[in-house]
Amino acid sequence: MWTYEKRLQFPVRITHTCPKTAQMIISQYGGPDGELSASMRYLAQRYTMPSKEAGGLLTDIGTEELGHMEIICAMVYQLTKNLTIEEAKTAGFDAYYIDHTKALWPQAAAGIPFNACEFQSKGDAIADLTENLAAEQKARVVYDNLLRMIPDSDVREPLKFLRTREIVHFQRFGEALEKIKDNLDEKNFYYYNPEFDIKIKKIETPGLL
Amino acid sequence: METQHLAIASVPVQVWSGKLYEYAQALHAGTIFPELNMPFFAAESVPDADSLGNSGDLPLEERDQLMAKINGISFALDDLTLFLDTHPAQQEAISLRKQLIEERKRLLKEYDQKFYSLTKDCEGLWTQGSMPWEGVCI
Repeated sequence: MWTYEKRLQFPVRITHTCPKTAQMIISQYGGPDGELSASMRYLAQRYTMPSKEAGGLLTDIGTEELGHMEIICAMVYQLTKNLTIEEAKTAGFDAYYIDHTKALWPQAAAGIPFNACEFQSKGDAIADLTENLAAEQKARVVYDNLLRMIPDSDVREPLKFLRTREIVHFQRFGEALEKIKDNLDEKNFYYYNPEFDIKIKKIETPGLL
Repeated sequence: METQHLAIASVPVQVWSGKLYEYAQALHAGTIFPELNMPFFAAESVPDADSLGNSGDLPLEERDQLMAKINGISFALDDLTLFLDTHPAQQEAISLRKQLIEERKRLLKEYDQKFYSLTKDCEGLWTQGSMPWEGVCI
């Protein structure tokens, strides 16, 4: 169950209309390494995680990513709120405008629609947590790339915040992976899959769920 | 994991240092832990003195001040919660979380009484206050 809180995790107040910036930032809404993708990835992986700590962490980070999606959407919205038809024509926002006017729609910067194929839920704790480490790094790179391109400080502040969150989440997923490793045979972490081979797990690793 | 293992990723587990950012600063940085604040060079190069996070010269209205407090405390709680997810036995973090929860409850209630409600546990309606994505209220 989720409940909504009527505020953003990090405040967004953008004064200058800039459809071009919106066009770039929207990638963190619907792109392959975006916040929607992150949230759905973690919230999908958690069910079969073999420890309460890992399942709990995925729930908390997955929930925070929903809040990040909202921050990104608020930025895109505020960047295009006062968009004129002339601005839509000149700033590279024309194709988006034709299909969605000023509404939010999850797509990558290049216009590719949000696609669940872009994230993994593999059903193996080591594979999934390693995937998440990579996912956080990829999202950080997107924020790095955005920060190189965008001069408006109203836009940069939330981007900087979100970038740091990727680093913190990387740290936490790394720690979750260490916990899983602590419960597996250190001579062979790959002897069995703790999310599937239940009979072996009961004998080998009583510490896992 | 004390020893090195082959063919698997390793990340050092964070040790609680007890050094935390003050909450407004933590929100600005993106973490309460100074050791996890690793800025990007291109993020430093543009002066952001007039940015939202640093708008110390603008007197904030009471509502914005209270919202800024709620944002700061809530974010500290978010970041501390993730720390506790992987460090469930850290006593100082546990007692700090307790304090943050109490303080947050108090601030949310005050905001509800003075302005409008932010959560389901408050009594307000959607028609009161601005939508969070409008950027009207920080």
